[in-house]
Amino acid sequence: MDVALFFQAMLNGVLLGSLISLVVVGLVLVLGVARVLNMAHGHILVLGAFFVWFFFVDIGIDVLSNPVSFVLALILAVAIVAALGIVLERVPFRRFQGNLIAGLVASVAIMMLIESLTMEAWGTETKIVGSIWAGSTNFFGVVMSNWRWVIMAIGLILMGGVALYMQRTKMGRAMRASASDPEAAALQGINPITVSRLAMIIGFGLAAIGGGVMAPIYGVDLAVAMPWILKGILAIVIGGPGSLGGCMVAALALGMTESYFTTFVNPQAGYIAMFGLLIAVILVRPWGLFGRPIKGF
Amino acid sequence: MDRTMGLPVTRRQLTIGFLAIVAVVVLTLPQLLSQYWVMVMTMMAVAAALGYGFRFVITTGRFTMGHAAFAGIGGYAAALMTTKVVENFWLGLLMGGIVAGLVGLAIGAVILRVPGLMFAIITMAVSEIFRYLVIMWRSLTGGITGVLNIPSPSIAGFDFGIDQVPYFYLIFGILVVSVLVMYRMERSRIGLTFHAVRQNDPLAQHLGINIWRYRLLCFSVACFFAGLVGSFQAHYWHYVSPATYTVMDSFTIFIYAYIGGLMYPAGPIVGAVLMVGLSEGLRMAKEIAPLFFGGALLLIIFFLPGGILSLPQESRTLLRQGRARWRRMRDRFARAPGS
Repeated sequence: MDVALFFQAMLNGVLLGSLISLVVVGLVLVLGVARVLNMAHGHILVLGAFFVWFFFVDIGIDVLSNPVSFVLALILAVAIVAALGIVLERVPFRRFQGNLIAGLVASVAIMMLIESLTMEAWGTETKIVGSIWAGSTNFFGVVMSNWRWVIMAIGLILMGGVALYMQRTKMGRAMRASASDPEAAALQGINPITVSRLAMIIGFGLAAIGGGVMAPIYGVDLAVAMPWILKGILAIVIGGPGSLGGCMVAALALGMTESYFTTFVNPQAGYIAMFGLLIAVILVRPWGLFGRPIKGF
Repeated sequence: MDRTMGLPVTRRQLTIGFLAIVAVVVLTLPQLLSQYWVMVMTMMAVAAALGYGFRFVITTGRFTMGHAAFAGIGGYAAALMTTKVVENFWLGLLMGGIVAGLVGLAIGAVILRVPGLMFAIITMAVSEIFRYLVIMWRSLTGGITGVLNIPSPSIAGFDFGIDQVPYFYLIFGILVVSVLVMYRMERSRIGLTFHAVRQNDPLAQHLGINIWRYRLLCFSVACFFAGLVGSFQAHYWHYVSPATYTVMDSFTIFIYAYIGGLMYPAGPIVGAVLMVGLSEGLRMAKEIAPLFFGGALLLIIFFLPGGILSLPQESRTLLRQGRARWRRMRDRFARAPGS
């Protein structure tokens, strides 16, 4: 086996894994705190990418230099998607907290609405966001384009930030308490509505960032929404819905698996291996490798 | 409750009479309608049969997100049977059902022990694994293009050809058989146990019911009938491909069933007829269809959580509430000083 190829695949895996973890953090927070398995999360990610494309390319806020206006577009997109998160928390999700079937139905309905409205507004063809930072960097024999390095850094930093936030701040601890036992948390004076609103904002914002930063590489296409939500669910189940850190580790592991299988075997075998791993994990530890049972399901 | 609005018949007789009228209407309609509408009726029957199986799994309190994949397993089994082994329609149909049922039995035996949320996720994983296996195993299944050129069924010397009408009768027969079997099961002692398991599984377990065994029975029966429908689809379209058995297709099945009403045996059928009929009748574009489905679904879960079929009951409650409010208001005005 070629050593350089091995490390190349490893870095690609970390990249993929950090993107998956941006999805999975949102899924875990929404499932744990707002208590809905949000099937629309992949579409939220694509929606973030759409807004970035809309502001960056379609309207073209090219008042400043290229990367700065991209960051501006990204911030606008994240703000809009997070606002959507607040609305969705209020209208459908709060009503179906802890009701698996009704929550799923509601999120599938939202997924279809997003799909239809984006197709109406912007058409079905894949949108192309030009490259932000061209060129590539060689790092001890491993070559990746600059933008991929940036994505990897953003993903890892955000993961660390969210983990610190959940561990160290008062609101983060409140969210964890509410996720492990909503009634007991409410008895301690934690407002369940504030907490689940915050969870939706963080989750949707991270998904929008994920979608936005990968838009320059992969383009913007609704067809990727379903694969992303499936990967997110894989990570959630392997890591355990009760443990955010476990889910992040699982996301990195999944990214590695996919990258290695794509490089050395073939992608379909990778997916089968991942889903097989999921079933094995559920059978041995139904609540994930790192997780404890969460109440209400 | 055997009172039927003062009529000299029992409720049961009334139901049977109503079903007989429906059956006669459904059986004569294809002779009158155009080929296109017969095709729409076929689609309705397919959706209704799959939705009925989905609801059957729900009766034991388990939510499956991979029902379309079991139709796909049946479809592939039937397709491979008729194209590679022996060209016999009945054998293919039966093979599709049996293979899907056995796969359901084997998978269900393993995965029915986990909590409900995890079961839903695993069925989705199974559905994806099936799709990727089909794409990967190119020598047997033809990869992403699927199995092509499945001969049209011929029963006792009668070749189906391209006319839509016999296909509709065939799927209607499958629908009737599967609904009858599952409905009788639900109304028998076994079905009562299913409902007990759904409503309170720890209690059912304490009463000595082996909840795993009952769920397994229910799941594999539903998978068997999904396989039957899948093998019908294979013969009807003359091909099977992995693109038609995705997680999204399972969602469509459960959206139809949910809109009809999951707690009513007739719910999935009503939902399928209504939604397929509306989406075809309005000739919706590809972009509008999800908007329509999503909007309808949101309206239903907010205002009629029991589905369309709960409308009579719900409207009665709403009317009663409204009347009570009106009476309170009238009394308040009657008691108001100076009146």
